[in-house]
Parts: sequence; C-alpha cells; structure tokens
Amino acid sequence: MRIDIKRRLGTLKYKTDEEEYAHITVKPEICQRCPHFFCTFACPAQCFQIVEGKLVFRYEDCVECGTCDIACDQGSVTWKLPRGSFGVRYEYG
Amino acid sequence: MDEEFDVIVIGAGPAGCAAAIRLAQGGANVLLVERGEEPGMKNISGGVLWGNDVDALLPKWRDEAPLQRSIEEKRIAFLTKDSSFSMGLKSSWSIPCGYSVLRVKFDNWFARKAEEAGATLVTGIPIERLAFEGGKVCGVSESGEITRSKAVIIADGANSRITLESGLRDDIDIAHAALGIKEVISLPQEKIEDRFALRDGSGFACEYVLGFIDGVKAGGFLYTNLDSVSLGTVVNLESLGGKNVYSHDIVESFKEHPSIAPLIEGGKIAEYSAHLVPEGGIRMMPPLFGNGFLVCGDAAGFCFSNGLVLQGMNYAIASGIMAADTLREAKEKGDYAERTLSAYKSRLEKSYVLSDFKRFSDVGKVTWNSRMYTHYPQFIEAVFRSIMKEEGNPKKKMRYLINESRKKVGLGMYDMVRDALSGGLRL
Repeated sequence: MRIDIKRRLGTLKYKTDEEEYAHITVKPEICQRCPHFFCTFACPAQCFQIVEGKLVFRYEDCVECGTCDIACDQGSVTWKLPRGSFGVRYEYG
Repeated sequence: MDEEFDVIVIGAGPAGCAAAIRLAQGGANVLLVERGEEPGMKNISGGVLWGNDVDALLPKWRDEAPLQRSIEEKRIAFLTKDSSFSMGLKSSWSIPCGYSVLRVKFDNWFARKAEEAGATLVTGIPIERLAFEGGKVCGVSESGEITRSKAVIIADGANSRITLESGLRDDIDIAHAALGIKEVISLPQEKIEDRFALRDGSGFACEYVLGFIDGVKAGGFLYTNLDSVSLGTVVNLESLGGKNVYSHDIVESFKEHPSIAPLIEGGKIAEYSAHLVPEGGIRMMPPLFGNGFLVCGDAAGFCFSNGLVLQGMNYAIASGIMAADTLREAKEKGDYAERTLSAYKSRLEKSYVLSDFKRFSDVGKVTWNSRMYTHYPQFIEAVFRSIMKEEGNPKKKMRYLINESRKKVGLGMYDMVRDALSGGLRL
C-alpha cells in the first residue's frame, strides 16, 4: 500500500524559522510563466505544489537537499542555508 | 572571535571530523564549525562505511563508534516490474568489508572525538562564505562577522554553498545531479536477522538497478541496521524531467516491488529523508585547493558510483586526513599559499581517492546509459527465465537463448555489442 508523502514527512522534526527568514524563496512572476513545473516532481518534500493552476511554495517541510535549486531552469529559486539551528533535524540519518 | 585559529573546518561530517581529529592530534589549533544544532542532524547516507581510513585516526574506533551492523553479505540486483536477478557475496570476513551506520549517531560521535582530540567544536552556525584578504583566504564569514584562520577546510557536503558562494564552482549541472531519497524502517531485531539470515550483529547490503520506473534512471539500495532497515532510491534528475513521475513516488514503487515488500513487511517508517548525491565525478569537481583553502568530501565531489558500489563516506574520511596532513606540513613551513597546498592534490592522486575517479571517469556513460534501466534488466530476466523455467520444451543452447531474449526485449545487436564493449572498458 502506498504511503502518502505527507505521512512520510510527518516522521520528520523541524525547528521552523519565521517566514521572513525562509531560506528558499521563489519569484511568483517567473513561476507563472513556467512551462513545466518540474520542481513539483523533483522536490522530495512536496514543497512545490500546483493549487488551482498556480504554483504554491512552502518552505516548512524542506529537507535542505538543494534539488529545487538545480531543477529550476527558469531562475525563480533563491536558495540559501537556513539560519543557525533552524530547519530539518534528522534523528537517524 | 578574536582568536586566530590555525585551521577552520566547515562542516562536521565524516570529512570535516576526520580532518579536525588529525589536525588536533598534531597539535594544531582547530575550529570545527557545524550548521546543525548537533553534529549529524543535517546528514544522511545511503552507503556503507568501510572505515579502513579511520584506523589511522582512532585505533579503537571499531569498539567505540556507534556502528549498526558489520556487513557480511553484499549483493547487486536488477529489477524488472515483477522479477529480480541478483548476485552477491557472503563471507564472514575477519575484518568486515564495511558497517552500516546511522549518520546522526555516527557523526555526533565522530565530532565528539574531534573535541576530545582538542578541536573546538561550535554548532548551529551556518558559515556564509570564505573571508579573503590580499587574494588569500583569511577565515570565514557569518552574519558579517569574520573568524580568522591561517587556512580553511571546506567540508560542507553535497549541497556545498561555500564553494558556490565563493565562486569555486558553478551551479550543479542537472545531467550530473542525482537525488537520494531514503527511509529508515523500524523492525524488531529478530525479524531482521530471520529475514536476511543474519546473526551476531552481521549485516546485509544490496544495490539495485530499477528497470521499471518508466524511463527514469534510478537505482536503489537497502541495508540492515540493528533494529531497522535503511532503503532508498537514487534518481538521475535530468531523466526525471517530462516523465510526470514524482521523485518521492519512486521510493514507494521500490518498496512495493515483490522482492522488497516482504523484507520490510510490518515495518514502521521511522524517518524519511533526502539528499543530493554528487555523481558528476572528475569533471564536476571544484578546484581542490587554493590560497589558504582545501576542499574535502562530498563538497569536492568525492562520491563514487558504478552501479555496484556507492561510496562517499570513505572518500570523505580519506580526503579529510590528507587535507589535514597537508596543512600540518604547511604549518611547519609557515606557508599556506596555493603552491604548498597543492600537495593535497598530489596526495589524493597517489591514494585510491583520485585514482578511482580518474580510472572510472567515464563510468557515468555506463551507469547512466538509459538501456541499463530499460532493456538490460528485462533481458537478464528473459535469459534466466528460459534457463531456469521448465516449460516442457526442448532445451536450447545459451547463444540461442541470448539472441531470443535480446529480440524479445527489443535490444538491438549493435547496441548490445557497443554497450558490452563500453562496459568492459569503463567498469
């Protein structure tokens, strides 16, 4: 039986920073014109989703892999490290 | 900090910790900086730790380190939708060929060992960039504050922001980018030992070629921990493009495979995780040294995959030790300029690290050959099915079976000969 990605992400612990310090940002005006929305397929944490035809990005579930920075060929993603001690906190690895 | 360190090491993973331990053991004043609140918290791995290089740092490490199982059986498997062809080697080696580890525990232990050796460990600090003075690195910069050192070791991992921000490399080319997704699945210890025929802390590890993911180039891995199984997939990102397949669904397809599902039945997902795998090899490596800095581990692109083995931690530890030895010499000379630090590259070239990458520089052409993920798993299945299945027909000679199977899966004679030659030369 397939296990929904939301449930799998539910196993993770995070220390979530405030939105103004989000470590990844996207430029909606660029995403609006995106021909493929590849980020929605590539991101392992479903941070990029299409909702009512529009790209919606949430940084909260990010596991800091850096995939979106490589997958986005439109120049929309700005990626930097989360501030000290924020972000995902693996317990096994 | 007003103090000037001999060396600042960025990243307390296997490369950074190995470097810090070696340097501190030699009496250097070392600062080891980690962005996670605890060392290991940001790190995952899908491979096996050989550990031979750790012997040189910590002779008693096999007794002290939080190791999961000593790997006694290693396999490689080719999967089609409903079949698995595999081969492997099982042996009780006197010194195991590797250990499974959970990185949060292992890296934390390794970083504490660096502290014990005399390094200063600070955590929860994401270094933003290198600090330069007169064309050479003079320390690191974070929140506008510079911490000074004579040299810096960059060991900040696969998604190395330091090499990117400092202009040492370009963005990773999607053709060479692979995404690893892993799950740790909890199972009682007895279940693991029964299912994998293990005892006394021995372990099992297998790498898979996934031939059923709709043209996406993907591999899988599975290995046993003490009371959990780590399994996951490594997906070539470029091949995922335009396929309408979600990266995180590929792990689920792998787990549903008839050869995998019974192994993890009844298990509970303890943790989901994902990480880039720097598979670019020698062409994707940043400069490995410069005026006042050295690059180690995944940040340097020292991750090797030939479809049979996936190795990162071992190169990381070996390169960390060689970076430390180079800086020990530099300290004696009182010279950290590029020319002195070039000895690091010579060391890597003489060791297995760069020899492996040079010798196997074209291995990607074999492992990321799309037929590897489409035709070949089906072809192998077809050949072995005709050999092993009794269907009441007269037996045929091997060469007929091979030719028949080749035609059945649509594998061209020319492609097969060319791939066999290419594999023979490059692997």
